[in-house]
Amino acid sequence: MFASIARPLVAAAVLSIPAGPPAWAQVDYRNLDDGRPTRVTDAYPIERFAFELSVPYRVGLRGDVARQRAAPHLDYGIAPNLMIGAGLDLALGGRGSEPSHGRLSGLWNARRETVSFPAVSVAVEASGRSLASATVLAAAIATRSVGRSRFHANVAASLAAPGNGTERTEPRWWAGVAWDRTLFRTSTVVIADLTVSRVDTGLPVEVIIGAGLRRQVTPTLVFHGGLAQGLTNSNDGLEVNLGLSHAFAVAGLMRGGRR
Amino acid sequence: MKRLTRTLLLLAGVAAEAAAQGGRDEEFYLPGRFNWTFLERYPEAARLFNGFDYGHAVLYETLVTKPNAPVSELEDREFNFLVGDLLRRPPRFAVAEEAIMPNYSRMAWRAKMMFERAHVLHRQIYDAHADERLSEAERHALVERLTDHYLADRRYAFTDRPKAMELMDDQYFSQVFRQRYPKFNGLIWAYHWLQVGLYESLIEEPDSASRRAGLRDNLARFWAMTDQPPSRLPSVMPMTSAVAPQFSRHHPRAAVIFDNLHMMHDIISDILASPKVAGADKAKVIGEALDEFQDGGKNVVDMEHWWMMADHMGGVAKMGGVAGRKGQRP
Repeated sequence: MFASIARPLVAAAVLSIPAGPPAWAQVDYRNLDDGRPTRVTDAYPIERFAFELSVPYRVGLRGDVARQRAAPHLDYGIAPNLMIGAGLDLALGGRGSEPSHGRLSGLWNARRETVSFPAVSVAVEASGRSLASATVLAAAIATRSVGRSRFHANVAASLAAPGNGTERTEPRWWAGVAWDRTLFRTSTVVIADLTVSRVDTGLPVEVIIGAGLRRQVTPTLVFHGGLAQGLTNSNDGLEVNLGLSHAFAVAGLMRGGRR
Repeated sequence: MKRLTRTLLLLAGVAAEAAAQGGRDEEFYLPGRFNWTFLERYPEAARLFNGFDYGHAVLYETLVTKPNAPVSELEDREFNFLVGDLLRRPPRFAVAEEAIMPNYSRMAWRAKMMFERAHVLHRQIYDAHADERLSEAERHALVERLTDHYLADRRYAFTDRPKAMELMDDQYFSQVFRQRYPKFNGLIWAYHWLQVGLYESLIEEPDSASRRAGLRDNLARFWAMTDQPPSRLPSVMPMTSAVAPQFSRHHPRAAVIFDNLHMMHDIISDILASPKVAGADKAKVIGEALDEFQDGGKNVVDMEHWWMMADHMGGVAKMGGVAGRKGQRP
């Protein structure tokens, strides 16, 4: 899985650079995604025909160990309200780091927000060093707006996991809630989240709080930064993350786009 | 395996139930190097439009969430914030309208999408005409291609046939908003004057320096309209054919789409403000009006009539005047 994802992802990264200004609607900063900067995400996919290349970098600090990772990810709005993605989770250094692995994902926005009901999406993600040993996670995601704030709830459980627990790339289950607030004059969203998770049966539940922001820096480029702090004995580490995401499209893939 | 199957079935069930309402249907717009040229070259105008987006959004949200609010909420508080603050220091990037009008968006998602798609067409046409890497013929051809792309999305496109003015002015809910909120309504019409008027400067001026001068002249005319409101604000809805005649000659389909869009803006303001439309019926009545403005087969006027419509409405001077430096001022 690792090699098969790496090649197209690198190609997309290269292709997206000369694509220049073609763009999204300048409000990509409100599009939350796992690790950009919090774990909890919103229920909305990117727009149909949009590509979004994200390059998050994070450092986990625990005791005297600093573990660095980068997780480049490419998403594509392949159908109405449906986004698919592929990415890598690369270990860049630090004693005891999990090994690098690949990631495939999909998110379907089943329902937009209405007067009486929140927006609802379902997501599936497979990650691992190979498809045979992949951890498969299914999630339900809800988002509700209240004024300029939004509230998000995520619940995820693993559907399949490698027999060898050390190869597991995602917890057995996790759940989280988040609040965000849009500062429309500066095209910034500030976010805070709280997640609980159990890595595997018999292990203690971990609790993590996080906070961060996403800010539009050009019509197509968003910066994010955040902090997450573990609150239990099994995980009392601090994680710092930073990154950029860039939205673009390929005219040839769009209706009437090829000329 | 059993657990996996059970979970997938459960998720599928939840999804099927939830999907009855449908997703957001958002779509990326046509990419190309021309995108963002207007913002890059003329930020003073492009950013102003971001402030306009806030004005439209806060108007609808206020009418939906505070139907009994005093008139001063929009006429004084929001008007003064817009003219004295936000439009003076407009945001660099587009305003996330959903954050300003979450309740309206939930109630009238289709209307929000139709406005958004038409605003994207507006913005891309500025970009096309601001891109000096393209020849004049290429710019005009690009605008026609953008219009084709817009119209191809039948779910959310306004028709490119001119709709009858009676749809805006002669329904049981008509004209309530402009009578109750003359300042805010005049400001919205001034927005619409500038939004179509800037095309005139981009098209009629021969070179970059004169285009910039033309744009500045139009911006100055917009700001002059906001002095001593509502006396200098447009008192009649600006018609693109009258305010931007050169643009309308080159791109009649886009010009008609923008007039239909601007009429729909006013119709929704009236539906939301009118006590004759019960709160529970407002979404339905908006939906019916949207159906009407997507239908190019009924209540339309011919193009000759459309060109003369401004005269029938009292003349272009009441709309803010012909835009551009060669235009006729009120």
